[in-house]
Amino acid sequence: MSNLIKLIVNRVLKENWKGLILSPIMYAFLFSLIVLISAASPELLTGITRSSLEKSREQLFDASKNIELWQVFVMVQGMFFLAVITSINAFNISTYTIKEELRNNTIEVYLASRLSVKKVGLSIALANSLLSITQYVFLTIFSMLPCLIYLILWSDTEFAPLTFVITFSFPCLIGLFVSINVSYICLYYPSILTSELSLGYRVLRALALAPSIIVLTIITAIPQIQPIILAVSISSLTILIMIVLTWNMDLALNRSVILNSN
Amino acid sequence: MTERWITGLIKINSLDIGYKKNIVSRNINLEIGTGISLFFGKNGTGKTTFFRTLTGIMLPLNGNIYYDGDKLRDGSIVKDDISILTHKSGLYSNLTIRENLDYWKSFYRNNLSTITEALLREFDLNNITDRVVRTLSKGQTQKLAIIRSLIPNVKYIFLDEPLNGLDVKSKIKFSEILYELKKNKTILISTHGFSDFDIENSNKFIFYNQTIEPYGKVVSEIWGDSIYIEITMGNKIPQEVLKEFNIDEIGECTYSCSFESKVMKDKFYNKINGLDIISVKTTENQLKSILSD
Repeated sequence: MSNLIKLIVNRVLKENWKGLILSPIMYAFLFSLIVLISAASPELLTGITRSSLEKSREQLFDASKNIELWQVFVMVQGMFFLAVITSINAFNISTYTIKEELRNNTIEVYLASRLSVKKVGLSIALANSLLSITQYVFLTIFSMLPCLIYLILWSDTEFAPLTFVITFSFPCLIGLFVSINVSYICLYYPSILTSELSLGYRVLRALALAPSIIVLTIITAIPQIQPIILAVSISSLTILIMIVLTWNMDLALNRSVILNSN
Repeated sequence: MTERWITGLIKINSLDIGYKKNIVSRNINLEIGTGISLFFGKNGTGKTTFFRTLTGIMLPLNGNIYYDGDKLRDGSIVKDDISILTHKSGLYSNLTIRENLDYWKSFYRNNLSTITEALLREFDLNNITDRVVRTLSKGQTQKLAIIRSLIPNVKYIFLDEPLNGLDVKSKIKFSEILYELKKNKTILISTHGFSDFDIENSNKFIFYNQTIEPYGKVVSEIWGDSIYIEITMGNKIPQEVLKEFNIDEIGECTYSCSFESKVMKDKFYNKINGLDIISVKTTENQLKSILSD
């Protein structure tokens, strides 16, 4: 199974490495733009965002320190913003990979091999997750790292390491959640992939984006909620859905083969 | 002696194939041994579904499939000995020929055949291995798909309509390769054309009446004892012989006739004894009648 995961990852990287790097760069540029604007003129931020950032500053940072709103944005909301972007990337990667497998009928070659149906489905889902997380890492390097290095080295910000870890791992979990679920849904309902204009495709995209947008909204609206609670909830839900979907993989891939043949 | 001792045998018991409630073929009982087995059938009779079920891509609705006595199951070890050429190519369209071959070699890892490079040369693909698959013609893609299916060194090879898109020269080459490969291998080929295969040296099966039967059985079921022949002579058959046996002249020194029994056929051969017989076809037209849509 690990061989298949490695092969799929290598293959997608070979086919699409430019897109996989360019996309994070583009989003990193957008993120940097927002940070710069919020640093230059915080009054441009909406009222709710500003009050949310102020509450986060009160809760997470020493009141005696002079922490600016844009710094709070980078360290708190920034990660959730990245979670939204990671969701978009995870959705795109998963749909692209499965579309290719179905279009070229390579999935049938896998199924005719000794790999069990469940392993084939799980390998595809995990390969997609790995690619999504890799993209998240690129995204973080291009967008957050310069800001964080600046904040750690040249500002008097003090930030609890645990919060750091949680906020950093959160977009990862979201990426994992989206890529696994989108992969399985696409294998169950491959007809969704036939047209990007179809209702099914749009609904799937909305479903993929929903968790991160909901979390971003919750964090912004209720800053007193601990990010760890959300992270644990999302990861538990991911594992649960993954188990249920893997269990029914035979049905999913049978559907894929049937629909692909029509 | 148990079946386990017989290598390359596929045994199919009471197999129903199809999709959920839609049974495509039912109660298939066959034994397929080493060599080439041709499966003839019209479009939509279930050739692809049959191959998918036999290779474990799809689950059978009923019945069992045994490879050398081992039952085919999801993930079972017998699948290490199976390779399939599917209806679509099974190639990644955004990778080059070489990358595709390397990909599938890595997938099968320890079980590789040594003929890949020779096949690339045979099919004239050896000079364009850096071409991306989506830029290849249909014929070139099909050739590469055939090579892909022959990468693993396996006992059972399933080729679903392998000649689709191939030109005449490539079909001949493919046939040569195939009959070279058939030693110690069980090769199953689905097709709705038969003129490109050496049907006399192959096992023949036919999709008929929602099941799969040995070709000979179907032919005798349809025609009983009557025998159809198409014969090409070096010179003309005398008119009185044509009249006696109700023979049609269908071309220059080419005749067709249905004999009610083997005795009649032998009588006819006695009559033309001494004349120059160039060729006799008996099966092709019978197959054509069954397979014509």
